[in-house]
Amino acid sequence: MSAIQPISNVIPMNETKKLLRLMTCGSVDDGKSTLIGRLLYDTQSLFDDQLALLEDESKRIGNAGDALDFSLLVDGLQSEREQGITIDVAYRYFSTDQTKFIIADSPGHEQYTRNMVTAASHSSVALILIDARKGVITQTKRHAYLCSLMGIETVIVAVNKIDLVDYQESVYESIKQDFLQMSHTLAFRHIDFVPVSALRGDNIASRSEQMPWYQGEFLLRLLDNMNICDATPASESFRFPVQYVNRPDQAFRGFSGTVVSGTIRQGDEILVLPSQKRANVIEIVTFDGNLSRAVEGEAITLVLDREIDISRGDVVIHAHQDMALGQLVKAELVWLNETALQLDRQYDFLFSHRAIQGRIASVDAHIDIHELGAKVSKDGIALNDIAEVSIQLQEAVPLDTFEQHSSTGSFIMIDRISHDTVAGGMIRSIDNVDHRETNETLSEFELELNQLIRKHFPHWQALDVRKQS
Amino acid sequence: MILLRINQLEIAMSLSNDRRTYLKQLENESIYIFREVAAAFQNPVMLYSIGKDSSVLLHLARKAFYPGKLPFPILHVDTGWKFKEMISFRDQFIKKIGAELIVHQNPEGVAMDINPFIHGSAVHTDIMKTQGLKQALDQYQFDAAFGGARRDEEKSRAKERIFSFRDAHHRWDPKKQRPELWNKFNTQITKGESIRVFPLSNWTEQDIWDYILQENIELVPLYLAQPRPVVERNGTLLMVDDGRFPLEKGEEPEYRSVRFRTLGCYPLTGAIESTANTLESVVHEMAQSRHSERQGRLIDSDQAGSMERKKREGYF
Repeated sequence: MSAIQPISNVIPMNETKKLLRLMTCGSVDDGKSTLIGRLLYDTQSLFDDQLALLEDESKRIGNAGDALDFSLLVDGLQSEREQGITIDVAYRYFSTDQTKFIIADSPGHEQYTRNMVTAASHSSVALILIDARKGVITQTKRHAYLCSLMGIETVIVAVNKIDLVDYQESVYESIKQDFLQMSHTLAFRHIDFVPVSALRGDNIASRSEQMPWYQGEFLLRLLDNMNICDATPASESFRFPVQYVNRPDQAFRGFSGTVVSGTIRQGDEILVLPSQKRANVIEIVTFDGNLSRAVEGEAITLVLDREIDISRGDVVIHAHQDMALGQLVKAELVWLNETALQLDRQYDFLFSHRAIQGRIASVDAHIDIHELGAKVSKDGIALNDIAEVSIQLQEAVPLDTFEQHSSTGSFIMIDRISHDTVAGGMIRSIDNVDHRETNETLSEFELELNQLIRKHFPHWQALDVRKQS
Repeated sequence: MILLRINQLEIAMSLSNDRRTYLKQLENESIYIFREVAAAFQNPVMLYSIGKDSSVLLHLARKAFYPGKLPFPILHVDTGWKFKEMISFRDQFIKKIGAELIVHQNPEGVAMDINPFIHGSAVHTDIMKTQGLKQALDQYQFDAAFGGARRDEEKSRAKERIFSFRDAHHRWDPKKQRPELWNKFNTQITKGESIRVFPLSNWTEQDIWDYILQENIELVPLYLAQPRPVVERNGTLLMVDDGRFPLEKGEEPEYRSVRFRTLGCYPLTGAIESTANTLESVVHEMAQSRHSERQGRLIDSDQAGSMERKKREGYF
């Protein structure tokens, strides 16, 4: 057959290139679109025909005088806004020799909390833009808080439009101090600052000559260096949510999924939750050959030494380690839907590959994102609200807190009738069901009361305690 | 001495097998998406266009379910105007990997003798591709369809979800699209509704080529330059692939060394002049020329904002 067979032994140049997921926080007024467009342009990520179009549009409708208006590369979706697309995160791509970047870009205004949260859930680094003329404003606080809430620990603060304040070091320094002071209560582990002019290209792809006082790296170098920061010590505990049972024939039975944390080795003894069954890993199968070990991020298939019952949504951990089984959890919810929360309703809570019915038992506090997460009281939960809630699930599932493991510590909430995704959640604490002490005896009074409530107040949706053990 | 060699070999292997390179990360993400759909949906299908993105998609699907075969069929919506080499490649390759192939051609379109040269690209694409696809999806009651579209292909695709929701009429409603947080995909639908799934969402054209090189993925030879009979119309080089090509007065096919950056219906796919006859030289040439790949597609330039409209109508 005459098919193209590439010459093998060709080693692609970018063999060691890494992937970095980045979110951008800022509004159009801060020059965010211009900055993203500039990054695409300066990394040669644009094709000639796109460039020709940009030149043409810059002349006709641009706002950058005779120069190219980079914001046009990003802001071309006005028609979509008119069509009423309200949830929109745009994904953009560019590469340097060392890194492929995926930018999750969302509008920065207040009503777009859900977009920022969506973008943050796909990012490990945040680029926060501050207009040098305005400094740290309420919007900056909101962006910083949301990044921190969503577990982003590495932040680059770009002080933009520095050209409009005559490249003054004092302006930059005072914004830097303000940001550090404002964010010290947030959970950032690493903050970089860089003064830039996206419009003029200062400190974007090379060192600017306008600011000899700035000793740090330019933006693209800072971003490239994030790869090194990325080497944070991997979490020790192994988490492997079973995604797909691979059983093509009688001879093979494997459990496919992605390692979300830790390392698994051939020969390891594992524990399956919630069933508590044990087994040993005899093979770690991939298309490219069996592995002796697999680490976080790898999509693999485990073959075990014995036939035990495992289904999609079970979590495999190391036999000597522990994971909570939670039925009552506290979480932070970000409401994403136009329809507000209904307290008396059952929703589906989708954890790792398993949806469990449950309900919001109580709304414990609302969070004011303008005041770095200060708690306020307010009824109900509506679009763009962030609230602390208690969730009662109909059965216990293996869970972690979001701080321990973002993957097994997060969930989405689905409306059981419309099937809409109504909320995203981060688990903050788990009331661990101790599985070894099941069949706890219920007092006669407790049983009677429970039946009475279920009979006369069915809309409370009280669980039948007899079926709980 | 021997020990030392093994150590060196191990080090060399662990370096070249660095499992955290960007291509490996993209691969893992795509495999995850494949498995999620196969597990959560009743009747998925993979749309296959025979092009390079489809070839990468198929390769990733095989990885996702190894050592099993693909747990879903492959659907090719044939317009009747594909390059001959595409069809022969399709049949041989699908047979080789032991997958189930469904070929669907819109019978109404065939009866009407739809011809892109006569009816134009818009009508041809709508009837043979968009309507053909809907017919096939309805006929087989597929509830999920994998496609090879990428977000970097066009401005309007930058916001497309990985799981793109379609109503019972296969329509894409911007307001019905669901937010996607982390990698927790909402796979719940009501009967009749379906989703399109794009495992290559986060790949760029460059990633696709890098991966093809790294993985030795087989492609239709049309991607490589060789002398082919072409005519030039309005600055576009069209290949005279069979006798149905209506030569205009004074037009004479001439053999020029050309290759294709995208593959589709031959009357609608422009060739570019090139001498790159290996994948390596194609990738090299691409790095030099820097034209986006959609430039060669006559479909897109047909009407302004046409991608957006086609998406709403059910075309990818």
